[in-house]
Amino acid sequence: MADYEIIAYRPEFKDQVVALYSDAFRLERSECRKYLEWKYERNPYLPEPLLFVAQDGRGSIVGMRGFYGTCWRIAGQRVVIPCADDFAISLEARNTGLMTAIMRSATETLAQRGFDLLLNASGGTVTVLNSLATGWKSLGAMEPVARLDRLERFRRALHTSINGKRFVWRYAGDIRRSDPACFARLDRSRRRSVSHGDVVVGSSPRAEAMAQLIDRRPVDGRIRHVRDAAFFRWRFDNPTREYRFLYHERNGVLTGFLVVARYRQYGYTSMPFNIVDWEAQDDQTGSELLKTTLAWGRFPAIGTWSALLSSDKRKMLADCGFAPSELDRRARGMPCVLLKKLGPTGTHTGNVDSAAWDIRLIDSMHG
Amino acid sequence: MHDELIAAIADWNPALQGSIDLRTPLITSARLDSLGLLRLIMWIEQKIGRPMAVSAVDMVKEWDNVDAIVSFVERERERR
Repeated sequence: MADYEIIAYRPEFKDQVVALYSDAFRLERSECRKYLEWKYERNPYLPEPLLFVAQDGRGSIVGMRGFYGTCWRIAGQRVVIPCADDFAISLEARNTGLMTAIMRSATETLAQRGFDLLLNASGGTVTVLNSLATGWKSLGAMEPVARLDRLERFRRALHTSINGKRFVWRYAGDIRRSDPACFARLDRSRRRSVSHGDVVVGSSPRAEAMAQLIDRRPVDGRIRHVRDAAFFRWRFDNPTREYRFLYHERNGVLTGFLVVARYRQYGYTSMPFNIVDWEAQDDQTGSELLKTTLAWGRFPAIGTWSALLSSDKRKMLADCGFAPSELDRRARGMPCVLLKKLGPTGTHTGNVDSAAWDIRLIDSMHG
Repeated sequence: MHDELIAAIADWNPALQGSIDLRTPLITSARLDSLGLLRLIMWIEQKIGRPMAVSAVDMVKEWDNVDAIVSFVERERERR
């Protein structure tokens, strides 16, 4: 491997990190800056940005790996787990072993800092492969499902037949703009009575009320992300997504919510809209929220992760026309959430059984 | 198949030309990472004729050198 030094991020690297990220992901620099500032400087669980960068001999930043803070409830305790994301390597430093070197250096440093676990909930194919090769374990495939209208099904089938499945698996394919009309339709619906209450559309999170609803719900003992007001406020401030919140109310009390994220741009292997969180005090409310969202938004393509939903919710999705999607990635056990254990063995927190975890799309930066 | 894989690895990363033998560590040494790993998976899938559920594979144990990879492919072919 060429001579690179891997060091912790410092604020004076910010411009170079933004430039590297922008080049690697082919995004506008201003958009990258806003995204990285949101994710690493305003994260509610890690007070300072936790990134590692690789410098070449001239002092240029040629690689980066970020870890944003997540907070999980494990055996009744709140545990902060850094979540790996934003792997970028400059063109000239690719295929040199640098990716592995950054990961090894980062995990050693984080172990020394006392973290027991690391997660990766958003890895693309290359990152997942590299992580598995360096000792990360998969918590299982997240089993994406999607509901496509006839035109979208036709477009995707055509794209696959023209480009070949392998190409589709490897690369995101053509980038398209998602249709803003779906959210406009939701916005026009605003508030309507449904059979067991009212459904109200909002463009910002009711963070406190959402957190209170979750606190009222029975816990099932699984490891789950702490969804408190601070988390919701931060999480739904992601500048690269647009969100709509469908709130179910009964007598003025929040009885359920469903959150749809809009990717402004998407490829043929992803969805322009995703259900990223969905909570209700009972199945009837959950079903009503789902049906109302789909009827009001009339989304051409909308997806979610289904693996760790309850069987009742999976049935609701199937009844509404959701079917397995991302079939090429599914066949390879992806998308998946990865876990790396750093601390002593034998503790509850190292559980890699997917049934022990409640993971939603909102826990991934895909959401 | 061993020679074919050695040639393929050198093709994916010309800097490795002439430095790979049957036992050279590929993954633990980071000679193969990022796109190199992706190409290796595609090569394996082509040889066994089906997609690989990669999370179920212990890569360090099964794919760390050319000899191990070829043995893995032969075992997977027999499982069909």
